[in-house]
Amino acid sequence: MTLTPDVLRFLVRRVFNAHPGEIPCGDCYVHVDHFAEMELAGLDAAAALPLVEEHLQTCPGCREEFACLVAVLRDASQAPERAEP
Amino acid sequence: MLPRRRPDPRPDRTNDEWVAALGSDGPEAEAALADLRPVLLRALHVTLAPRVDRGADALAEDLVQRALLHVRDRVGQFRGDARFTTWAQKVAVRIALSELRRKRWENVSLDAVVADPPAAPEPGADEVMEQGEAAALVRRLIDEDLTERQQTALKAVLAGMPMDEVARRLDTNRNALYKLLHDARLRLKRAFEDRGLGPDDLLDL
Repeated sequence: MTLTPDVLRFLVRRVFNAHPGEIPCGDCYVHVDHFAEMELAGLDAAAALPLVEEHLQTCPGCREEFACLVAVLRDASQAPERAEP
Repeated sequence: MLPRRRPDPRPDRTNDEWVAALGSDGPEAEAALADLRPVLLRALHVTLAPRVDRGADALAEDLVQRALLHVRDRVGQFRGDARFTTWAQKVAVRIALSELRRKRWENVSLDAVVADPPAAPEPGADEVMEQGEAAALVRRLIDEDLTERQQTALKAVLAGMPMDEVARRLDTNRNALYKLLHDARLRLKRAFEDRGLGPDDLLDL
């Protein structure tokens, strides 16, 4: 296994940030729609749901899904009359 | 007997109305699915278009029925703390990204990823020893302190394979994989701490 400098830094940070209270992807998924709505409404989603925020900071897959959902909601709010692509 | 008339389009349903309609049988459910279809189709398109060179519309059309069925089958899981359409769009986004991840990695074996991760960028001359020392220590602790399954999962994720794909290859789900990796990280943390090492020691090696 080759550990590039970037991968090594990522792994070391992830290892030392590990704590028993973390939530898994499934729990993040349950809350991420609410989290996205709060973000778009200008509310402090990270303060309201800190474990979701933490998970999104550290899980690339969930972070990508969150970013896409925000893009979808922004698109829907900007063009509510456009139903079909 | 006259055919039952399809209810008028109602894309502005309340959360409770969406849940009631999709949980019913017959024309109310069909009408709700028909109203939800363009919403999910748009969500799929917005997700796919920046990520595929061509064919985003066709792929969105392919996936929209899967997304609708998924939403209908799991409508009982909707908690009501977001808008129903946001929840359904979340489902569509995950289906789109999972499909893209599956297609991108379908010809790559887990063994190949674990055995041969992407090559490291060329470090500067001064970096070689420092980096090599830290990497060798981390690699040794991975091999000594983690189970074989934890090692495989960690190496695959570090090599860039998406969690969905690693989970699929290990015949598990993303949630269980996260827990497996979380346990692996805690084990490594203890292993470092037992040796008196903190993050600064490792990154400064």
